[in-house]
Amino acid sequence: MNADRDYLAAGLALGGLSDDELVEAQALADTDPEFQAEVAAYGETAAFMAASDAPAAVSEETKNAILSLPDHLAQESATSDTAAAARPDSDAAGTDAAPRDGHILAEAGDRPADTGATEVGDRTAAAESDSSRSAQTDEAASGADEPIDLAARRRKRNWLPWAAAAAALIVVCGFGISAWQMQQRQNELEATLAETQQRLDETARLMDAPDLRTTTADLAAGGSVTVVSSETEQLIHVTSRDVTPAEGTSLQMWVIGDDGPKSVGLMVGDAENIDGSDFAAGNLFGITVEPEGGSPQPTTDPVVAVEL
Amino acid sequence: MRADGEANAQTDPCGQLLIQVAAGDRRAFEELFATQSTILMAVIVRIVMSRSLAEEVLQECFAEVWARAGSFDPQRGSGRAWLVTMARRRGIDCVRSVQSSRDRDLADGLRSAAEVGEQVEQTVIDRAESDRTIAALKLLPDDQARPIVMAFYQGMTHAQISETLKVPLGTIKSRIRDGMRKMREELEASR
Repeated sequence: MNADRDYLAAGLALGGLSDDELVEAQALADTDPEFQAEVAAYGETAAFMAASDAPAAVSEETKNAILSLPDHLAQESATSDTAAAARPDSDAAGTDAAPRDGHILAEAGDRPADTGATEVGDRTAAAESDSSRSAQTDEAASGADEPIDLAARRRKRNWLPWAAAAAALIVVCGFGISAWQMQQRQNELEATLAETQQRLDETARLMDAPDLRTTTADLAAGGSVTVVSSETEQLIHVTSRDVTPAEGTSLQMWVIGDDGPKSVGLMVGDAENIDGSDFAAGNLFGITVEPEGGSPQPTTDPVVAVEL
Repeated sequence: MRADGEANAQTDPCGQLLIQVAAGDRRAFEELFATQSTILMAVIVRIVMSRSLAEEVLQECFAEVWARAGSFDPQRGSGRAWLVTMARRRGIDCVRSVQSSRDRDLADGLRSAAEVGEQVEQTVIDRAESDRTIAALKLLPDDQARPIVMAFYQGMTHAQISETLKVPLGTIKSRIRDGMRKMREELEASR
């Protein structure tokens, strides 16, 4: 194989070819089985390199989430995928047309389908996946939309798992949201809730706090929660969207510090302000599903946990 | 790789497990997790530079493993390559998504954009320092290893690498080709 073809095969497997080179390399892979075999061999090389790294630990929470995937995630049949595979994949061979999701927070019905694989991670591919989104009815979700089996989880707990989670920095967290989006949500709340002036003042103080932290987390049962906090102001502002506790249950909020979980009340509306509860940066804020009226200590795993 | 649609258990244990997973074998899925999760986690962490993000991406990868193991074709490559490719793709997609989100915030000129950005990274790993733990790269001189790492883990094009390192594009291409060739020879010699 001459130097150019060698480069194209290696580049196709590794990533980083220019658009023109990509077209050329894929055309070669389509028509020349020897070239395709070279690409596959370089794909193994790239995988060999990646796998020679030092292993990284996986949290207990993630492990449990993954091992429970078969409980609720459907498998796609092989036939539909092999039919869709049009060309040998540059992605180190062995990958058929894999769905591209341009956003890891995409909902289950929102993932793009992308037949005709292109170079892995290539900006062209990313642009294609962004612009050619189509609904996948059966797409693999990370279980974010599945209901929690409350009966299975309702057993006496102590707060040690929470401390372990805090130590491992494990949260069910999404990305922070922009102040503009926070402002939009704030506007929605003001329109629908009768807030006292004190509450408005607290929120304003929060928005102006120099150490403002914000996190949005999706609940497995649906909906999302946004937690905005400031340690200097000692304020937590929690807003929820599309979150409805099941009949006979309440959503209870907790701050978990060194002494364990401390209740900071029930979520009764779409938004709650919490002040006067001492919390420090690094404490966890969590919400659990409790019997109606709440419990003195959490009795279930948190449905949401964010770091303050 | 075999031509008959089966993976050889000795040479491609991952591939064999994937085929079993595709048939609904949960034990095979668990074994795949047990044996591959930490290495896939290493790949993803190196790409997304954040442990909490990496945990999410890893979950998505295994969701794809369970749902779409049927798309693995042993004739086209090993199970390990299938997994690593998928993990890399999802990691890079994640980085791009986070970057777009941050870029939008910065474009809005919002004061709190900096705070928003900080939330995403729970753990920042010093890149140059940590690349040395990739054993295979020790086979290569630095000037070959560096562009290979940038292309694979950062999803950069060779042109971008050339610009960043201020090395002519033709030189970068040769170094990538030579470095990959060297690693490939090592891999094939060890089999």
